[in-house]
Amino acid sequence: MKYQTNCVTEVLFAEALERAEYLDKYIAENGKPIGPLHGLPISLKDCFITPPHPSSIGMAAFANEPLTSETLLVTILRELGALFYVKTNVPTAMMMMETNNNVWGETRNPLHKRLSPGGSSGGEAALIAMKASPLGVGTDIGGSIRIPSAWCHLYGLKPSFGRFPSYGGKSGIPGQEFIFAVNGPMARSLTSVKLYCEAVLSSQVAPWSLDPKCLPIPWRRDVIQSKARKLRFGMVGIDDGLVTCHPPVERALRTVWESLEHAGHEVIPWDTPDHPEIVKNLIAAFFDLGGAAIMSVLESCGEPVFESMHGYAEAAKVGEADLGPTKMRMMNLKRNALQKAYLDRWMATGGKGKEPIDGIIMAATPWAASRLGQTQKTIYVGYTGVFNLLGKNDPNLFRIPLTNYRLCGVHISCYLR
Amino acid sequence: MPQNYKEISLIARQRRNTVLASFYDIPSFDENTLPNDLTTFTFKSDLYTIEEIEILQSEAEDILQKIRDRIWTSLEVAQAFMKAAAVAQKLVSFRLVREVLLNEISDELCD
Repeated sequence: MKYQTNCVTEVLFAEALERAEYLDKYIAENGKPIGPLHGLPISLKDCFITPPHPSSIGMAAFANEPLTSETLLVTILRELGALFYVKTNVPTAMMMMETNNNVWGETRNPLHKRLSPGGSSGGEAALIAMKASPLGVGTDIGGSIRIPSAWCHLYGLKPSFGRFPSYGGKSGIPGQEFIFAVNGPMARSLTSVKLYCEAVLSSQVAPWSLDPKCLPIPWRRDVIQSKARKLRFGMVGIDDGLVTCHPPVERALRTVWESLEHAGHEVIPWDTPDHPEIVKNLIAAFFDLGGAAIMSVLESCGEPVFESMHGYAEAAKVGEADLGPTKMRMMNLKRNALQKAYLDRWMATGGKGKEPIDGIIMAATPWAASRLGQTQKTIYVGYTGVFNLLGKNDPNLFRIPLTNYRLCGVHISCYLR
Repeated sequence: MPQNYKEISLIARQRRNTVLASFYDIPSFDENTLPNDLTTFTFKSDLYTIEEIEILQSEAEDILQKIRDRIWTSLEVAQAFMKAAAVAQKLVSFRLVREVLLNEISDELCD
């Protein structure tokens, strides 16, 4: 077994020094910072393109290929004053829940070196947990911000699609939009996450004028009215209809329930009768839509396929002949129906003088951080991925690190009315 | 132009390690002396100055405030995190060497 902590992929030290010197000169000459993120080093998941550096996304074919077109978010963050110094490791094509690939090797969890930091933003989570980064940016299409945030005791925000600019990143399955990927901040502090959101989703930046998929909604404050209002939450229990969680996660959920009630909020059980169907559609979509794309890249360099990614190899063997317009339309209709039904179920929690629940709380993974390599056999992203398929309507997802449970965590899906 | 993933991997990792080494000369760590919780280890070592540790222990909001207040420069903040990233990466460099050697040996045996 290989134990390697490769949290760093590309090294941007020269650019960082140059930018830092410029920022120091700027503030000396102008008497004020260039923007709200002036001088803040921000670590970037490998998929963010910072020319000329490659974005391997854990795939050999891309590992040494220089790139020319910078990701929009990178440009925005730089203009806000941030500086970039490293890019961080991801699993192959960013499609595993641990961080390992045939280029850089395996990233391990600094909280416990024999455990995985999760994936796919595992390099980010490891670097931030090590305090080698004050703030990082990850991406999430099935749990890739929430899972590593949970396993490395961090805050991670998986925003709803359509808020943060997503244009111009390096994608694991380019052009796949049946399930949208989003990017979001990861940090040890909630305040750090908030300041990132306020900076990027400002009227000054106006990302909606730069990315056609961004809605013109600046970061909103004081959404909860009145401020003292107690909240209502639905909490998923120890299983989602497919996988039962381990005792540490069960304890974590109980702790969250008790803490919320102690603070005067209401918690009700939230059932998951539709989750098995959603998970099935999610996983099938990843394999069917990603199989050929991923396998052709791996095969070009003779890369062996990791065990947890065999579904992509199988799908690629079957081929894309069946995946015509009719099948795509049926997939879209099915997904849309699942989304609507879920929203209706959520809103039905209102009534009898009560508002619908403000959020759904669920464990991020069925287990605390897994042993290195474990999820090759036991990969399961159903706890997080359901909310990705629920798609445009999916509310903001926020991962809360639990003080007594550093290696597991819960996430809250919030619908802000 | 190498087309095999092992050759590509070697080039990529050498590129990364060369750049890191050109900036910081971090000693190798003996895996056997490393605790399970690596986060408790790095600040106990002699790798950082007190000022660097203070920067690294700070959260983003405090870093931004101290830069605005001219207590820290962007340069010293950047350098602290660059060094920390080099340390984080180096913590297992001896494993990397072993893996490269194993690859070379197994390739020789297969020829």
